[in-house]
Amino acid sequence: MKHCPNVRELSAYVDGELSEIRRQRVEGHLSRCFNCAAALQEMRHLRAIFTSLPVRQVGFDLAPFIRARLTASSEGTAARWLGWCIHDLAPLSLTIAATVVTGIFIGALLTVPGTVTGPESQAMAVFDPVPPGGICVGHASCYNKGKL
Amino acid sequence: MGKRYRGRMPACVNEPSDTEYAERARKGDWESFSVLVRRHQDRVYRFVFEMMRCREDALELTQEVFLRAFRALPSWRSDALFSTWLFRIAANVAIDNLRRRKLATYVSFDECEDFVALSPGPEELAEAGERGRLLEFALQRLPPEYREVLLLREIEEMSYSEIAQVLRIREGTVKSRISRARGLLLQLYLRQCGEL
Repeated sequence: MKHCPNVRELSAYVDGELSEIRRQRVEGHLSRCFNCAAALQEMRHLRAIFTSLPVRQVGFDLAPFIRARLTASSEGTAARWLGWCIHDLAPLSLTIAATVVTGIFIGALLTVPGTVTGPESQAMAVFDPVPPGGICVGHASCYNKGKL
Repeated sequence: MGKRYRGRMPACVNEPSDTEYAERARKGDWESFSVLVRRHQDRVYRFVFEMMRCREDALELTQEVFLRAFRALPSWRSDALFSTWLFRIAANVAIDNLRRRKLATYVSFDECEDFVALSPGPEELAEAGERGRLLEFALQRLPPEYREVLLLREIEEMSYSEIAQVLRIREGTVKSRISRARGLLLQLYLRQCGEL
């Protein structure tokens, strides 16, 4: 390898993530290049410092707490659902019931015998299926004898 | 250097694997899930702690990770490593939380000149005299995307392939992100130590 490997290559070399061919090339270059060897040394130094990071631990069993939260959330969901039923569905149900009752009441008013009477008229008789000019036997609108 | 065991060492060789416990937990066996919690809580906590840098937040979010995992167990596929899947959730929880709280303050290479102002004072440095503490201060200044990838590599000792699975990114992206993160962290660390 004539040219210096890029930082990505060196970093992957430190992690042992290069293919065998690439690894050999990088190693060959490192033996001749002071700058790359220094960069590699810094990366290894950094890796070593990671091992000195304080080891953080929970210190107690989290499982009971997680279970309590799961139970609380499922109870909360049920309570929310119930609350939703009471607070949201009740007014909606009442409105629907009131609408249905009103409809039935108005409908009952309209269907009481004698309360509503339609006008007696033969105006619609002109739409008889008998075509114009056809013989219409006995229909009053065809024989307006009063005007003739 | 031998690869250390990730998570709590099983008490005996015949102890069921994560996959077996996860399968049982998926069927509603809480005790199996409790075992998984005990096995992985410290690893998840450490990762989340280094992301958040606050014990209370880390404890809260570690519980959140396991809560989400329990609820999402039906979608877990047994061909995926449980720990990889768990860390995917942990990374999502941590990053989401940082974004929500807008704690994701970081410096770029160009902003490194201002780092002296952000670094801990002499008293804090005296208290945190160890190299590990200084590294934690430097890690804190990394963008979360860089921090998480380095933590998975250096603390969890995951391979690039595993990290790619956890973060759902390509291996090439893992490779370049790690190298950039190292470069930036090294600058921050050395500046912190007064060596630069």
